[in-house]
Amino acid sequence: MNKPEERLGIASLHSLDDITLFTDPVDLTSYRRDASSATPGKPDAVVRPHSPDAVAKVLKQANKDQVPVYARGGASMYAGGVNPQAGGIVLDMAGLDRILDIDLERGIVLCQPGVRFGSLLKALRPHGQTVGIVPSTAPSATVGGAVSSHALGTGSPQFQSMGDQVAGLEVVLANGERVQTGSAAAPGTGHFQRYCIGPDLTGLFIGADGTLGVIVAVALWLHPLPAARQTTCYGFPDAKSIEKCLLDIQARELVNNIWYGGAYEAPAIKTRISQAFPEKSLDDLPSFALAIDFRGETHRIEEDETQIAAIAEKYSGRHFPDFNEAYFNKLRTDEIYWYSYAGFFALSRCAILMSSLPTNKLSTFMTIIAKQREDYPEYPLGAAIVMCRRGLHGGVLSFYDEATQWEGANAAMKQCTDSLVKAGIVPYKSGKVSAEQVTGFSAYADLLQRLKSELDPNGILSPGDLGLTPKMPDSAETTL
Amino acid sequence: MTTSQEHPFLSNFLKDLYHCSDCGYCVEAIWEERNIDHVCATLQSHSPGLAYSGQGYISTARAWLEGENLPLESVAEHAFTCTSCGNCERICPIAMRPMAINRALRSELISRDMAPDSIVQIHENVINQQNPAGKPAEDRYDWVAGQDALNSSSAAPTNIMYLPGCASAYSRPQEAQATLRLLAASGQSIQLLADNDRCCGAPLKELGFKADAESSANQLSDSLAQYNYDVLLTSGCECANSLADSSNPTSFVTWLSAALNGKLLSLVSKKTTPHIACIESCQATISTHTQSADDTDNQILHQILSQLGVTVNGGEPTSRYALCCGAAGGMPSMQPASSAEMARARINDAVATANSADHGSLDALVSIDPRCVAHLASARADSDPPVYGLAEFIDTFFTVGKGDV
Repeated sequence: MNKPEERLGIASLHSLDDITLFTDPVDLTSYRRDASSATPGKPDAVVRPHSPDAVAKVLKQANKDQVPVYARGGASMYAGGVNPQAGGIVLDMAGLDRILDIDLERGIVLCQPGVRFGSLLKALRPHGQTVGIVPSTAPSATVGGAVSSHALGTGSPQFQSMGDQVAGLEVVLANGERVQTGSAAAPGTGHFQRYCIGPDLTGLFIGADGTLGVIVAVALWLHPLPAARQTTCYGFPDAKSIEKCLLDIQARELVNNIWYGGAYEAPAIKTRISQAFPEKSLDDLPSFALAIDFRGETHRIEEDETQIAAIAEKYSGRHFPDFNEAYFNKLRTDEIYWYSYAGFFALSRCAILMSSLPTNKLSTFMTIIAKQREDYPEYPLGAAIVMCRRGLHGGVLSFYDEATQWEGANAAMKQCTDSLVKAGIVPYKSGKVSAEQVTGFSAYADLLQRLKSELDPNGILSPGDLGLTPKMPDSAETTL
Repeated sequence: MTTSQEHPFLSNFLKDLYHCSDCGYCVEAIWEERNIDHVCATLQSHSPGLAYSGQGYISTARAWLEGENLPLESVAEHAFTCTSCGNCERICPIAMRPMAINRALRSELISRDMAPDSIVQIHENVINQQNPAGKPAEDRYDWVAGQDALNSSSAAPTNIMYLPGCASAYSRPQEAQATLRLLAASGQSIQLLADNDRCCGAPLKELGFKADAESSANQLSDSLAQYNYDVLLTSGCECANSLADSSNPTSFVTWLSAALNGKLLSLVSKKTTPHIACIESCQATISTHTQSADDTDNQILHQILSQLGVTVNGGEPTSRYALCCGAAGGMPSMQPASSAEMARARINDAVATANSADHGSLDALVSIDPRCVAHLASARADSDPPVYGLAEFIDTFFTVGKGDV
């Protein structure tokens, strides 16, 4: 095999300016994977572009040479989208980290994809502004990565999903062409409206894991920083009760002042209570807990809290002050929920599946989790439900020893995913972890493949993601 | 998978290597609520390549342990370039130890004679001359010549053993001299190890020469054991960290705080409220000799300056994790240009922050570790304010007396 730098596709990168190029094997070891349990890849080169034009030149060259390209942001996602399983180039977008414009009149912040959420929040605070969805790894997570992989985060009760917060994009296609979506498609207009001109081409690139184009600018909606914050928790006797409570809250749209709402089952409740109150008995704890973090005007929070308490009571829910203290004690001053993240991963590395489910399937989701625990006792399982404006996100976390249990944990998670899909619960993000499921959605998968063939005829963009069949040479071992 | 015989140092870290969750906080993090601006000075000033990050060292170590045929020259170049500031370790949400893993990487390379020449030279310097710069061992106490402070009364209440550390002794003697004057002004009796002094082994420990580092530390401890003293005082943050387990040292900044609070010293400003910018030392952030992350020497420095009425950075809060100025770890010897660039970046940041607060021009840049002070001074432009260690700053801007202010 030729040395990587001698391969045609990689050697031609040396002629490009406005990039930093890494081909040293030691440099490449750090670009093999994200936070997922997906199979890592081995890139032949890492390119750090310094401008959108440089991204366009790299893609144009890679397209000509038929070299795979995987765009990468903070790589803290757990779907494997950035894992370069076909080798080729990892495009490290973290260097494109400028906030281009904060337009308070339009209510838009325009930034390059490598901007970290932590940096964005800091820049917006003096303006009394924030963004709708904030990933749990916000200090390191990049805006482009979050949009490309459709990240979860706090803010979903009010704002539903990351995708809904995007007002427009600038994307570089596989052939190097630059395209702006939404109102910015009209020359000289800029971003102020996503749904105009024609169909929503912005949405085409959200959650696409870089398979259809590489995002080089993101316009996000701004929201005023809320004046007040308050947390409360309720305990419920069973999954059906909390399910009905959530349905009622969502039906009445009592979500406008909820920044985060999470439902937790007995193991998580016991863990949190025992950590916060070691002296307390763990007997007679509720089977489920609903944790709510309100943000908004004080009087509106109080009005909503009163109504939600009445709804909870209707479904046998009771105020659960111990869990309120145990769960939120370290979160009340944080705009970033790293504590939850750290809590999960402190046990071991874990395989994560984020699913999307209608609220009335919460109890079904929990039944599947219980069955999974029975079938795979060797992989401790965590489950958490996150409230959206409508519907829910269901997180499944399978803890494993990566040195000895990696294959088994992935097999167990595959069974869990299949069971969830069969029950009408779908993977929220796909990358490579749920690529197989995407191919099972036949008509949708067929349309996606046709779009892929049109936009990326050589299949250079993120081959393997979303189950899209690359039209690439067999593997990275091939001399390109 | 490797065996513990093949990788005796790295095999101690298997749990970390297979537990890291790739959250990326050790690469870069901006977290306003926790006052964290950035994590890795090396990525900012030397190379953005992730192989120089905490995550990178974990990835490299794991690949090597799993039998990948990595070019060891390149592994060495990456491993020894790290400044060892420790920010990657402190920010890890699940307590992984990327800095310790990199130290183990270095030890593995050393055991295979793969340490770069410049690193080997530092090792030889410490072994042969008892200081990392290779200055003559016999010159270590040249800075004492003419210092009256050593003529203190033997009836003094506290007997202080002052260890300046290699950086003060050789690169920043002004700090050692100023420290001596302040100690004397407080009425304390002062001792010096003089010919028995030597490197505490901290640079060797940092670079992965584990056994020799322990040997150096033990020899210094043995020397100290021959003296009677009440307080072991050192100027170097790294020395204080290194001696923490064996000799219970007190850093100069900690001593000064106690001396001011205990009214052993009185300081009267020669100029109304000097305006300074602090360039914090990453080694002081590590501060294993202090009890908690909220009680580091950098924070004590700010308390002292506030107590003295000094305007610092226009009142702007400082970052929780100090970014290295380029003086630490293997950076100065491996990557001198990047090391200088880091120092420039710290100076530029400090000056820009201070200027943005509109408190007028800066009187000084102050840092507490003599190694940082010497390095920053070497990168200082004529238009920059002068760089001082804390003792020098006080000696320059305050009239020192004994007793209450």
